[in-house]
Amino acid sequence: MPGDFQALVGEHQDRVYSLASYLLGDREEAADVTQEVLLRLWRNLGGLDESGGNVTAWLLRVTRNHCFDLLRKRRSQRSALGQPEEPDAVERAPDATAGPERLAASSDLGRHLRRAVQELGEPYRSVIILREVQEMKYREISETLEMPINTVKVNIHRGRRMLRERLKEVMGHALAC
Amino acid sequence: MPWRADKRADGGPGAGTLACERARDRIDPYLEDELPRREAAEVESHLAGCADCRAELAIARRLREALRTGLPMLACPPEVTARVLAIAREEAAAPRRWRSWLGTGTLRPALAAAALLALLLAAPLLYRAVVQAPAEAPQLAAGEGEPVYSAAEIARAEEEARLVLGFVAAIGRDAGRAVQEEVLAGGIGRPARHLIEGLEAAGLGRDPSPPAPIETPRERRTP
Repeated sequence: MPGDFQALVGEHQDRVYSLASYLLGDREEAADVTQEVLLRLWRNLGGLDESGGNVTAWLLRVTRNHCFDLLRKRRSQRSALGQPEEPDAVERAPDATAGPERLAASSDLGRHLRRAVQELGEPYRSVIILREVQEMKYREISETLEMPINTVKVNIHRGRRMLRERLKEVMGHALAC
Repeated sequence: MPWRADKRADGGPGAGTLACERARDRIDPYLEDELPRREAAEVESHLAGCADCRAELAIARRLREALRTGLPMLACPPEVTARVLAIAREEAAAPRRWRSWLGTGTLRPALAAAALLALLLAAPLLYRAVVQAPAEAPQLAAGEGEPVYSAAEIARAEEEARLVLGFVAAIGRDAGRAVQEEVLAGGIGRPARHLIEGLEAAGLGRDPSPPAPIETPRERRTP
């Protein structure tokens, strides 16, 4: 196995796992998606080298598509079984791993924020996660989502405004304190 | 101050006016320092006279902070990394036979799809030629109305059928895997498994009756 692949895994595994966790709201499924996506990277390494593509953008795009497939299947499965839409997905949203982030994430605001992010429609949810969790630049998000930069900017601002409105609804004045 | 002129008569002070709408649309780009200077000045001017929008600005600042701390990057579980590297090592040590046949790079998806199509077209013909052909040209034993074959003929036919079907199955497995990986961008196995698990949970499992056995020509009766 080329050492390059091991280095790529080390560099990108948290990004892939985080995106899948926030999109799916389920750590176990996110771990499965991460494994499948990283193995696809391994099996397509030659093609990516030849095309000179951006590995990060490719990985996050494949992860997002994979998650959307799972969410679609999940919806149609629940619908076929006559079950209601999944209200508990957000409750299974990931917690921070350690340190001060953990404290912030366990606060009311952190919990409401994760719920609000997961309730956002697309493409707002993806652009917010890529910008705020992955700390990507507009250009990188544009490349990952194959979306013009100006559209990325507009979607991020709209997504944040939707989050504000949603958080004001559930937290009221506490949000401004 | 063009934005103040938009204020609706029925709105309270600030809230619900078109001017406030415009300002709130621009609060995020304003905080990100992305507005042209003239627009930024208009936002500031509006904020100076509108307490509601100043409160909105405070909320936007709080949200920005919360987004930084409340949505952290998550650490991939180490067992996932270990599994991925182990599988990659295993595949690197024993490269698949058919991968090299299918070429590399951009040609691989097209070749894999073509191989699968050819297999689908050829499988019924192969099956018919190998398994059914002897039954279509039977040797009739004197005085009997049924086809008869020697034990050696039956054994040879069975061996040929096994070889061809084994060959077809091997090509099918490899071509199918290649198509899944290269053409369909993954996402087949797991969702299908989810669906099957869901159906089984609902009591809609597989048909329990076993498949019908393949009939073989009758052996010649020895006198």
